[in-house]
Amino acid sequence: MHRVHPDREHGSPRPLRALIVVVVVMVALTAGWPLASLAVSDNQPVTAGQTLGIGSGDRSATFTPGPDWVAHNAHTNLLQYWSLSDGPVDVSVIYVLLLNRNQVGRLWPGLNKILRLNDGSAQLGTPAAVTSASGVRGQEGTVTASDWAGQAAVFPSPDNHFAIELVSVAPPADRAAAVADAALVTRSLRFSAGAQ
Amino acid sequence: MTAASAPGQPSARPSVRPRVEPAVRAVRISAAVLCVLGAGSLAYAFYRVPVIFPAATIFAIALQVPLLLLGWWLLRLARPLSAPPRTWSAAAVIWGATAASGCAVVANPALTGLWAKTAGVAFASNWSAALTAPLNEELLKVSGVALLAVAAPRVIRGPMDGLIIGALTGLGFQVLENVTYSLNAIPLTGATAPGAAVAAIAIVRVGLTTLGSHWDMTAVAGAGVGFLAARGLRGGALPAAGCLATAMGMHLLFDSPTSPSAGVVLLKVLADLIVVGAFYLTLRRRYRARARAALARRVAEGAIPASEAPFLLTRSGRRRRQRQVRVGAVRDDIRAHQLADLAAIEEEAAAY
Repeated sequence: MHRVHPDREHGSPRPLRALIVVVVVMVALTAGWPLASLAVSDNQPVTAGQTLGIGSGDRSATFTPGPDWVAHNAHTNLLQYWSLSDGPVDVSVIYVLLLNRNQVGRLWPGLNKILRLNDGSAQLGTPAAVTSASGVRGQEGTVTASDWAGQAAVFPSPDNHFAIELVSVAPPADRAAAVADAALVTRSLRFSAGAQ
Repeated sequence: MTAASAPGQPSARPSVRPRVEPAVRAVRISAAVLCVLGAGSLAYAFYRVPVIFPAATIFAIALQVPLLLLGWWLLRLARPLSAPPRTWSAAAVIWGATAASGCAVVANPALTGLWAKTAGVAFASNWSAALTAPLNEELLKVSGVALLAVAAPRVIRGPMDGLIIGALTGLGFQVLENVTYSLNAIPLTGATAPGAAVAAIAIVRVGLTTLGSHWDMTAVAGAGVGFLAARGLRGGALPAAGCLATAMGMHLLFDSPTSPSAGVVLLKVLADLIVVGAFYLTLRRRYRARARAALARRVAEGAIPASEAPFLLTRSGRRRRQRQVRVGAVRDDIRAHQLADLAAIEEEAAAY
């Protein structure tokens, strides 16, 4: 008489088939989506003079990128992050929520640590005061790493509930272009009326 | 009277474990490898955070330990009659926290990016989480429950077993996700107050949304795996697909772009809790009814002494019966018979 093995009294009668199905599902999700994403272009040209927004409602800001800039949609979220590029220059505009109004003074050292999360060699220089065309006041300074260099800036909202951070970097040879692009975003930065 | 239930007779529990079949062993080894790969993926994604924010990282992990311990205890207690084996309960939690989470940190950004590229940034900013996480995460979590059903078939014999193991898998995922969300909150708040950012996320995710999160979604999907285990592919595929779709629907509801106000979030939590509660109470009622019927039949057949029956179907009853005799061989013998009788009754009760 055929005797059923204790491990077979319940469950799949074909364990390896079940294993293959599970592995296929996991590979499809972890390799399939990245491959499918790679097949679609991530470069979305930005219309010249188009104003871009970040944040939502009263806690938002706008800025204007330069001509021929492209947005990287896969790494952009209208509430938190814009990833843009201008030739060799990568420009990130970041929305930062402040849990406490007293934390404004920690934005610059905080940005230094955030940059080091992505590149351990990143280092911010000494900050200097900067003001946008609309009167938004913040701090800016150099940012350097082993493979890139550029300019960074932080702008607390007038009500100190949030801040906009800007990082513009390029290979060391194109550092001047990165600084120029940072200045372009800085000049155009405006906070919403509700954030005043 | 069987040897299993006759006091004074040797226990019917096998003294030697049956040899694990090569195919089942291959499944167990593969599952362990997938957990290691998942842990590696998580380590690669987050290895710089403890270097730059060591105190906040320890704080983020420490804040989740009570949830892990409480969830572990409550979810294992929730299975009628007896708790699932510790080893396989731990395997479920580990799968959720490593293999499922580690794959999700790769799959989710990729699919989110795909939404943004194809449907636009505005659409993706609102809907990518709701359209990405239910698909990826529910499949990744329930894959672990399915593997466990194959690796340890006696642990998942029916939908109630699947629900509990699924809930434990979801708990592991939830705890790990709470930690990663806490760590992600540090840059989102400008790294101006890492400890406060971690605490704020823990308060929201443990204090506000815990009852409507991954554990209950995967519990529902896991019940589907239990149907498959009990009925096979032909009879179990439809309810299994229904359970998985329900779990995905619960997840979609939870992640849908609505007002972030606490009241709306609580309504979502309540909705998910009602769904898993309905599943649990229905399965529990039928499980206990089948257990009572199996016990009555065994008593009528003389397989279980009538004097032992009133104590058998609850944890407290079994303990009460054991405490009626002194610590020693007789109590050990009673306990052994209780376990053997209970195993036979659970075997019937678990099937659906």
